Amino acid sequence: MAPGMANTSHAPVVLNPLTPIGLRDADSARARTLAYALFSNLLASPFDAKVSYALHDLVQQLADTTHVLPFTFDLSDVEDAAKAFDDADMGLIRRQYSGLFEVGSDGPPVPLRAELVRTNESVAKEEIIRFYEHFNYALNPSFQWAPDHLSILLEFVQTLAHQESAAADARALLSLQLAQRDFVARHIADWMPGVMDRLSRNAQQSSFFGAVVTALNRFIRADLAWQNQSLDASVEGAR
Amino acid sequence: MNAIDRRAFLAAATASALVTNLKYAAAQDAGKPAQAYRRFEDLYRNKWTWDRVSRGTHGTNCAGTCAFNVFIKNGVVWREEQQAMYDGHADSDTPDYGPRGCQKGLRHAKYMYGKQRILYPMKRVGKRGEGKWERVTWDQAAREIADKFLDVSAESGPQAISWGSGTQMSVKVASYSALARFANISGVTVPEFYSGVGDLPTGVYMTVGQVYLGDVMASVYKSKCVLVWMANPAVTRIPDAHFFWEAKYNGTDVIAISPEFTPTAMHSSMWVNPKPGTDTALAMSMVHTILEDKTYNAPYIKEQTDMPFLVRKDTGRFLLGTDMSIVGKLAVDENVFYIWDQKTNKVVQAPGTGMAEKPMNRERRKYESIALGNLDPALEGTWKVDTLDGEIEVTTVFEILKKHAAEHSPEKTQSITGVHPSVVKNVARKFAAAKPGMIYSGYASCKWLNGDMLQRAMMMLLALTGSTGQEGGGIQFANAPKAGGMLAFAFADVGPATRIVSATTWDYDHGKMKDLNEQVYGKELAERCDAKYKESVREAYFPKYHEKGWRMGFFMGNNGANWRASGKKWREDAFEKLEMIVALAPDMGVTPFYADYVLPIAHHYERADIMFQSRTPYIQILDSAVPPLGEAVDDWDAIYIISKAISARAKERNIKSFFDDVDGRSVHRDPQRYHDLYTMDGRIRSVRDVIQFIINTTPGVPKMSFAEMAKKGIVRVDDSDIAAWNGDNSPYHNDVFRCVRDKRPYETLTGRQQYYVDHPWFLEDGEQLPSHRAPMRIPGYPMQFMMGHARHGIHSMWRDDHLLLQLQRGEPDIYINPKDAAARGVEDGDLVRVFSPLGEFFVNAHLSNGIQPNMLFMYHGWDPMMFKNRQNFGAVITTAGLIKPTSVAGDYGHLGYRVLAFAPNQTYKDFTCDFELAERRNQSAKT
Ligand code: SF4
Repeated sequence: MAPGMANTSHAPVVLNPLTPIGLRDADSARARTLAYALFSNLLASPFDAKVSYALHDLVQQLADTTHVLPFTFDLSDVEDAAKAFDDADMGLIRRQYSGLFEVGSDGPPVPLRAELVRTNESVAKEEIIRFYEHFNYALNPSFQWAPDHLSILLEFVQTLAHQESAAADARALLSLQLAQRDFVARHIADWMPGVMDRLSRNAQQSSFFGAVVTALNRFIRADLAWQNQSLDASVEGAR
Repeated sequence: MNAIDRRAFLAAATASALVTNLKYAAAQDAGKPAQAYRRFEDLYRNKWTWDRVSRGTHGTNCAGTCAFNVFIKNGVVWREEQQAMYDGHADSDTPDYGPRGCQKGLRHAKYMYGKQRILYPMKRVGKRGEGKWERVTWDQAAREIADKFLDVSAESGPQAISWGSGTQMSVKVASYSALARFANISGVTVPEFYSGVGDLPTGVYMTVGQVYLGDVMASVYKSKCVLVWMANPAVTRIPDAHFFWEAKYNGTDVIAISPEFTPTAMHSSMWVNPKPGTDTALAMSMVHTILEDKTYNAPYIKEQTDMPFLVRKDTGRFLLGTDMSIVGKLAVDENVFYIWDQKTNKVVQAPGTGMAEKPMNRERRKYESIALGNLDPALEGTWKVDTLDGEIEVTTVFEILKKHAAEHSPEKTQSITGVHPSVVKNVARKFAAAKPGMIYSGYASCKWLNGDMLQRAMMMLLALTGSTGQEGGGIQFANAPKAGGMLAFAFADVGPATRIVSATTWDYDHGKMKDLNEQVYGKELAERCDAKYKESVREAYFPKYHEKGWRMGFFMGNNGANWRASGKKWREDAFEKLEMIVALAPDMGVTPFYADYVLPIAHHYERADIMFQSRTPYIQILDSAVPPLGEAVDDWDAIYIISKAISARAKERNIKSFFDDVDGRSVHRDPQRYHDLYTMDGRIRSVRDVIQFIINTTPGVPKMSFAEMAKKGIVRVDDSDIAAWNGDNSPYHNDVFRCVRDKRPYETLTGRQQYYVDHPWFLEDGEQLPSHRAPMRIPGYPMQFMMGHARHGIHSMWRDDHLLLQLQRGEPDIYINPKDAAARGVEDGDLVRVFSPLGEFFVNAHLSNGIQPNMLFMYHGWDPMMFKNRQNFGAVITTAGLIKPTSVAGDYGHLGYRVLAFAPNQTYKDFTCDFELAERRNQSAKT
C-alpha cells in the first residue's frame, strides 16, 4: 500500500442500519451512474462553458435519482437550499461557487482539489492518474492540470459505474466494481472529512453549495458502505 | 417507483446527455479497463513513463537560472531534475557550472499547484484588504480595467497610471520586453525597482559611470583574495557558492565581512565582523594601510584613475581648462583636466579629457585614449600654477586622499567598527598582495543611506591594487545584458517614448514621505532632503512624472506592498489611495490582497521565455512544460488582453488620439491603436515571437530558432572564453574591462575611475571622497535592524511553501543576541513585538550568538500575510523618505538622473527599533 493511503477493506464508514441493501445489478449501476454524474455536475465550475448549468433541473434529477438508488439517501437539505436560488441568476450561482471553491486570499475557503486538502501530495495524485490510465479516462487538455478536482473524480466514478451497467462479462464487471470501491475509498472518501472541516468554518459562504457538499459527503459514505457490503459476499471470495 | 418505472427512468436517464457527454474526459469509452483490475496494487505494475521532458528554470531573479529538466505526464508537472549537462568552462582550469539548483527550484513542481496560486481573474467585492473576492471572466475584468485606464489617461494623462514590474517577470526577458513595449506605446509611468528596492550601486556608478560590473562566477576561482562583503552567497547563491569553496581549497583567501555570523562566514578563510553600518570606516582604514605600506599599484592608478588629477587648493575643485584659458572659459573645450608631469615638471592636460560635448553618450570617446604615453603624472606634491584667477596652489587627488585616509587609520576606526587594527592591516595586506583581488558585494551596500560611499571606498581598494578590469578581480555585482534586443522590441515601429522613474522618488512624491522624515529624523533633515530633491527636479536633473498624481496602478509580478520600506505607511498613504489597483501575479500575496482586480499569471513551467544571467556564460530557456493552470496566462498574453480591451473600448467610446509631453517631446498616442501597435499589426502573435525577436537582435546570442534553443535548454553565449565579460561580442556589459584593457576614457566626468567628486553638493556634504558616516539611529530605540536574502525563498516566492517552512521555524523569525533577549525577558521561540516610532510587527524570537548585541537580524521576503495583523518588518522601517542629496545631483557629466544607473536608492537600514516580549511560547520558560 502506498504510504498514507486509507485501507480500503476497512474504510471508516458505518452503514446505516435502516439502509436497505439493494441488489448489485445493472440498475443499481445505472442509478449510481446518475448520482455520480449529477453530483459531478453540481460541483463543476459554473464558469466552465462545457457545463450545462440548470441548477434546479440538476437538483430535481438528483432527487429523483435518490428513489432508485440501492440504498436510502435523503436530499431534502439540498432541495431546501436550492429554493433560495433563481436558476436564471447565473451571477449569484457563480459568485457563491467561486467564493467557496475557487478563489480566496489564502486559497479558496473550501478547495475541491484533493492535493490542497490532503497532505500526501503527489503520491495520491499519481495513483489517480494510474486509475485514469487503467480505465482509459483521458482528460481534455484544459482540465489536465487538476486531475484531482472533486467534480472530475466524481465523473470518473460515473464512467466506471456506467461501464458496470453495461459490462459484458464477469471479469470486466469485477474489475469495475473493485475499482469503484477502491477509488471512492482512497481518493474521495479519504479527504472528504477535510472538506467538511473547512466547510464547517466557511458555511456562510453558500448555504446551497454547502448543502451539496454535505449531501455528497453522506452519499459517498453510504455508497461506499453499500459497495463494501454488496461486494464482500460475491467479490472478495472471488478474488 | 415500481420496478418497470424504475427501469424506464434509469434507461432514459443514463442515455441522456448528462451521462453520455462527459465534461472532462476526451474519450467517450472512458471507464473501460484496458486490463483487469483486482486491487490498487495492480495500478503500479506498469512502469511510470513521461509524456515529455521539457527544459526550464525558475524565472524569478534568484540569479540562478539553473537548467532543469521538467517531467510531464498527462498535462501535469510531476517533478524536476537538474540538467547537469553543462559543458564545462572553456577555460578548463575553473570548476564546472553544472549541476545547478537549490531546494526552492526542486520544490517548484509542487509549489506551482499550491493553494497560494491565483488561478482565475478575481474582482474585489468587499472593502480593500477585507479579502472578499468573486471570480470574473477575463473579458469582464479587461473591459472594466480598460474603461478606468481610458478615463484616467484622458483626465490626468497616462503618467497618472503606473505599471510596475517585479522580480517575477523582469528577468524573463521576453515578458519584460512586452511590458516595455506597452509602456512605450501608452505612456504609463514605469517605476523602476532597481533603485526602488535599494539595489542600485550608485557609488560604483559615481566611480566608473557604469553599474553593470560583474563577471561569471568562475571569476571567483580566478581571484587570489575575495572579500565577500555584505553578501552571503552560501545562502543566497546556492548554485554558485561552490566556486568560493573551491577557490579557497585552491589557495584563494575568502574573507567574509559581515556583522552577523553568516553561513558564508562559517565556510570562509576568515571572518571580519564590523559593527553594523561601519563598513566604510573599515574600507577606508584598509585604504590607509595600503597607502601607508605603499603597496598600491602606481602605474595603474596614474593611468586609470583621477588620483593624479590636479585640484585647486583654494576651492577644492578640479583644475579645469576653464580656469586656465579664455578658450576654456568660452566652453569651447569643456572638461579639460590636468596632471603634473614629472618628466617635464609642468601642468599638462590629462589625456582623454577635454571634450566639446558632455561626456555622456559621446561616441567620440571610443576613439580617444587615456594612455599616458611619455607622461609621468605625479601622485604626490603641491604646485603653484597660473590661472585666470591668478597664481593658485594645486595638489593631486592622491595627495588629498592620503590625508583623508589618515583620518580613517585602523587605530582611529577601531572604536567605530569594533575591528582591531591588526585585523584590518592583515586583511588589507592580504588584499594588496593578491593579484588580482576581488570584492564580491551584496546589494545590502546599496541599502544604507551612505552605501554609495562604501562602494566608492571598495572601488578605491580595487583601484589601488590594480584589480578592476582583471579576470578574477574587480567588484562583483550582477552584470546585465546589453539592452539591444529588448529596447529594439520595445521601440520597434513607434520610437522611444517611455516614462521610467525611480520608484524611490515616485513613492516619496505620492506617499507623504517628507512627513515621515520629519516625524522620525527631524525637521532639518526632512527639509534638506526635500529641498535638494525639489531643486533637482526644478533644474531638470530629474524628471517630474509625478505632477499629475498617481491614480491607477498595475503591479505585474511585483509584490510591492510586501517590500516597500515603511511599507505600512506606503500602503496607507499611497497604495490604498489609488482609485484602481490591478495585480497580475502567479501567487497570492499582500499586493493582490489589496488589489481591486487580481489577474492570474502563468508560473515558470507554464510559459516560454528566455533568461539572461551574467553569472554564468549561458542563456537559459523556459519552454512551457504545461499550459498555464486554470485561467492563468503569460505576461505577453495578459497585456495582449488588456491592450485589446483598451483599444476596443476606445473605439466604442470614440476616444481620440492625443499628444503627450514626454521630457519636452510631444508624442502622439492613440488608444484605439494601442493593441495593433503592441502586436506590430499582428506580426507578433505570442511570446514565442517576442523571444525570437530578442534572439535575433541581442548581441552575443547565438542565432538559432527558439525551438532549437528550447531543445537544448542551455546555450552558451558568445565571447565567454575567459572568466570575465571582456569580449566586445558578449551579451553583457564590458565597458570597464575595455577601459582598462584598451585605455579608453570612462563614462565619467573625468574620463577616469573617478574617486574625487567636486560637485558642489558633494563638497557641501563633505563627500568629495568616501568617508564614514554613522548609521542613522532613532533616539530611544537601541536595536539596529538588519536584513538579508533568505535561504528558503526568493523574495516572497516559496516563503509560504509548507515543506520549506518545515526546514525553518514554520513562521517568520528574527535573530536576536541572547543578551538583548535576556534583558527583555525573552527566550528562544517566544513571540516578540518589534516596534519603532512608525509601527510594530510580531515575530518568533530566534536567539543566536551569531548576532551582535544591539542588532536584530531578519531574513527578508516574509509576506505580511504571514504575520499577525498582516504587518511585516515594513511596519517598522522608517527610511522610505530618505533621499540622499548627492544621489539627485546633476549637471555634472555622468551625474544626473539616468535610468537604471543613477537615481536615489530606497534605503532600508538607517533606522533603529526595539523589541519586547509579546507572548510566552517557550515551554521551558514557563516552568
Ligand atoms: S530557484 Fe533559482 S537558484 Fe534555485 S534552482 Fe531555481 S533557478 Fe536555481
